[in-house]
Amino acid sequence: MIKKFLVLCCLLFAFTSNVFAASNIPSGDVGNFGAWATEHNRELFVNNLTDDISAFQAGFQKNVLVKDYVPIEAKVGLAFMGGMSMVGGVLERSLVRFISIFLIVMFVFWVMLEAYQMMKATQKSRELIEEIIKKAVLITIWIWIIQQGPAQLFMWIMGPVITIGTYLSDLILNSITSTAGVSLPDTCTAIHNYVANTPSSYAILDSTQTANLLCVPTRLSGFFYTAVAMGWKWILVGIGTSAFTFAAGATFVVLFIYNIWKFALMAFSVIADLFLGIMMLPFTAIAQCFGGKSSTNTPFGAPLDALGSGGNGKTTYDGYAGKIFNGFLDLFNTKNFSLDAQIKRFINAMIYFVSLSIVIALCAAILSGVVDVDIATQIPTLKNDSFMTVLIVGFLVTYLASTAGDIAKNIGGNIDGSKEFTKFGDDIKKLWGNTTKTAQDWYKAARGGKK
Amino acid sequence: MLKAKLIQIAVKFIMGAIALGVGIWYLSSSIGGASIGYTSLNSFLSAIGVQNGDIASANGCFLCGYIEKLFAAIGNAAENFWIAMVDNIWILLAIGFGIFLFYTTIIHLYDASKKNVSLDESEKKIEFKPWFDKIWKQGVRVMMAGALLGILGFGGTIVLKQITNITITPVMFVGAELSMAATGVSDSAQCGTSIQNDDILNPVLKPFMCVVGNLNTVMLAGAAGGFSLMNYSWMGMGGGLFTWLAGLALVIMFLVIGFNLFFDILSVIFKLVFLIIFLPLIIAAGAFEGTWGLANGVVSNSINMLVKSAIRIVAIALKILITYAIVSFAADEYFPGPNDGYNAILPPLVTEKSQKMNDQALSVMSVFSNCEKVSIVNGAVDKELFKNCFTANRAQVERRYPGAFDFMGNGFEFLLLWFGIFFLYFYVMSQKIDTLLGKDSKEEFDYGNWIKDLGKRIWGAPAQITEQITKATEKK
Repeated sequence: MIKKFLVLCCLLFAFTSNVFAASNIPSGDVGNFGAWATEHNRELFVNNLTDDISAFQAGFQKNVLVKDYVPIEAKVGLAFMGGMSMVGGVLERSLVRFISIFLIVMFVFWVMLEAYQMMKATQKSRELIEEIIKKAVLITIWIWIIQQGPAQLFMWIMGPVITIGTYLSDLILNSITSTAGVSLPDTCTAIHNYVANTPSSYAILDSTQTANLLCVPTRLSGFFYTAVAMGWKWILVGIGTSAFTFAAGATFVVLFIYNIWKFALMAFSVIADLFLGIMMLPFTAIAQCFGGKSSTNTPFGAPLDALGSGGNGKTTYDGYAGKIFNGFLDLFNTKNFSLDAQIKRFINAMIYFVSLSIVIALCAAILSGVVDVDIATQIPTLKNDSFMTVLIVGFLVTYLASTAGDIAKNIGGNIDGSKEFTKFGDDIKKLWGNTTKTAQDWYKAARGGKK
Repeated sequence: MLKAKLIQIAVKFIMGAIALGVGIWYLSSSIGGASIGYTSLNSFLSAIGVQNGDIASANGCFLCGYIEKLFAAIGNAAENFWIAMVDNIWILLAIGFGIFLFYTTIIHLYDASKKNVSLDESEKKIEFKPWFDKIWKQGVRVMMAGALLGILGFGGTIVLKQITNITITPVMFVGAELSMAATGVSDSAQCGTSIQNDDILNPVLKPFMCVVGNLNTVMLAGAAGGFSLMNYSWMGMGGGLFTWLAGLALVIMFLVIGFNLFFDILSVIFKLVFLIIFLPLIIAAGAFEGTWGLANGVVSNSINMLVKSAIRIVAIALKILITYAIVSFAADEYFPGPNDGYNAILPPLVTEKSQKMNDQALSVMSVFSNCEKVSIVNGAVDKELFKNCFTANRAQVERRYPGAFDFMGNGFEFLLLWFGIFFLYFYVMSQKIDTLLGKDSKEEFDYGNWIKDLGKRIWGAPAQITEQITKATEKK
């Protein structure tokens, strides 16, 4: 599917350039035997194409290589965070009543099943009454919590974790880049301004925290967009003169756009983890009340214990009714939804984020060899005109980006479902494979056709 | 050879373009009149043909009518199957219990005899209590299953319907609740099939229609946003080629995501239908669980399937909700800014309520709102009337707020934004939700994806045939 989509993107871009190049269709010059590939037509085509790409490149450079440029991936990220906050709000509104009733209904069923089990097997009425009191207290507390707005409550507690995480990321980035003598293009200030001007009534995070989260993956955007702009320039130079220069330029464009989105998607994955943790809080209430086992023996210890380990158990009755009861509660399994898991998800996400900033800082240090930033204007320029050097640096950065997930894991950050990083890379590889195969087929077909 | 290649490419391109064209035509034809932004939810709902607040009655509810009929047919067949099973399953239960009785008795007697061999004549005895303990428990389970299946004169299909109502309906209801949150048009009680019958598949059908109805509404709302952008630029009301392309990208995005999710829902539904149809057999197997190896795990596997279905429905509904919310937020940021709960392209479904709007944004909104009212003919927006109204009103607003309608100018950025959101959906959100809500990598019973693959293969047949013909001619 993704492959199809990427092909579609290529088609769309091809289509757009064709539309732009509508004036490039050679006219009035048909050679012998109806051949269109005459020298005149070739010249016309090359000139018009050069004009179109030149205009596009100039526009691209004018829009992107400016001091207050807000990278598009930061805008996507903001829309993502805004959308997730909105969904969090909707879920909270629609789910709170449902979850409250669900907890009470489940509690009634649990009492019935446990009472039956007690009469049938254990005969320990005192323990059962204790368990009922413990669970009643726990459910009351959780209903109170979800009625108060768990997302906001959770963010008050976890907000400092985000602040520390993003502060550390920024610190690492700045210290490494300053040691390497790199001046980072200041997309961050632009992002902060942009986020501050785009408030949302649903926002769970404040604008500074949101901007800080968006800043880390986009810190290299200035470098990357410079390389993309340079790629377009080389494409321009290569048209009609050098296939190699053209190919190098095209490689640049693809390679650095890939790098831009690779880092962005990794950070979005972390942000998704944070928001899913918040959104699933109503389900956490169920997991806490009916999942796992409690180790406490005191009725008032149960809520405290539940905050750490997750509830005081499913029903012990193992008949069909018990199986159905426990089966339904598996919907909200403790592995994914317990408070413990949510807090771990948050902390892991932040460690991952910090690890990502180390990789980004390394990439910045490497890129500083080829890209320079004017201190006054904060606009990056390519200081090394040798495209082989830039290309090698680009591949090195790509390699680091593709292994950033593993590096982050080794450092200690571990977020669920990290396969999306490899999936993105795999899809690009597949697309590249298909493109080269198609090119070879066409080459063979063309050669065969000439015989 | 080059010609053959070109023909191959042409066939593939034509088939792809037809598929895309049919999809876009389908979405476009599901929305009555021209899509040029909707300032109220009601006007959007009437444009997609929603009747009496029943979201499943919308024109764009993909295959809804057919699925309703299909479910009615399967429901009839399942009911007949139930009656046949209930009428005859007692034989199976009786034979099963008879074999169990015979086997348990023989084993008990054999064990007792073996033990008695080593004892004195006076100590020899056969204890029947352990034997009876085994027999009565199994007997009660068989009788319970028999009672549920109506063998003992009560129960039968009525009880089975109640069981499906208690177990299956809540599974779908959770998804229905979530997807209703996405659209926020009404509560799920008013949503569902218009057919009021006592069919055995009703517990699945009603909430299913609700989930699918909501999915389609969101899909059409997203597509309507795309069509609005395309119309603005096509009719010369704002934006250029890239704005038109950004609109097309938005339409395609919702087309692809919407249909993908539809086939996901179909897989879940058929799992539940499967559970309902085989309910008598599952109950009968439950009577012998722990006694016969063949019956072991049937009930727990069925419960497992039910629970997984519930999780999938929640995941699908969550994906719909998140996708629309992200696109809505992006639209709110741009069309026009600032982020104030109003956007000029998407219908106001899950979006924030308009608030703290500045005078300029209010003026822009009033132009769209007034022109929408003026241009409605027979319940649908007439684009020429809209354009005339828009041109006149726009000039007035722009005299007061120069550049108030320039928000559609940066088409290239919109285009990149939609692609970014599409990547975000496929590489992050979809996978994250699947990981969190436990989707198996490869499911054994995945009817929806099977249908999707079959459709793709059939659609790809002309391209395949051309390829084979090319290969055959190459060999010659």
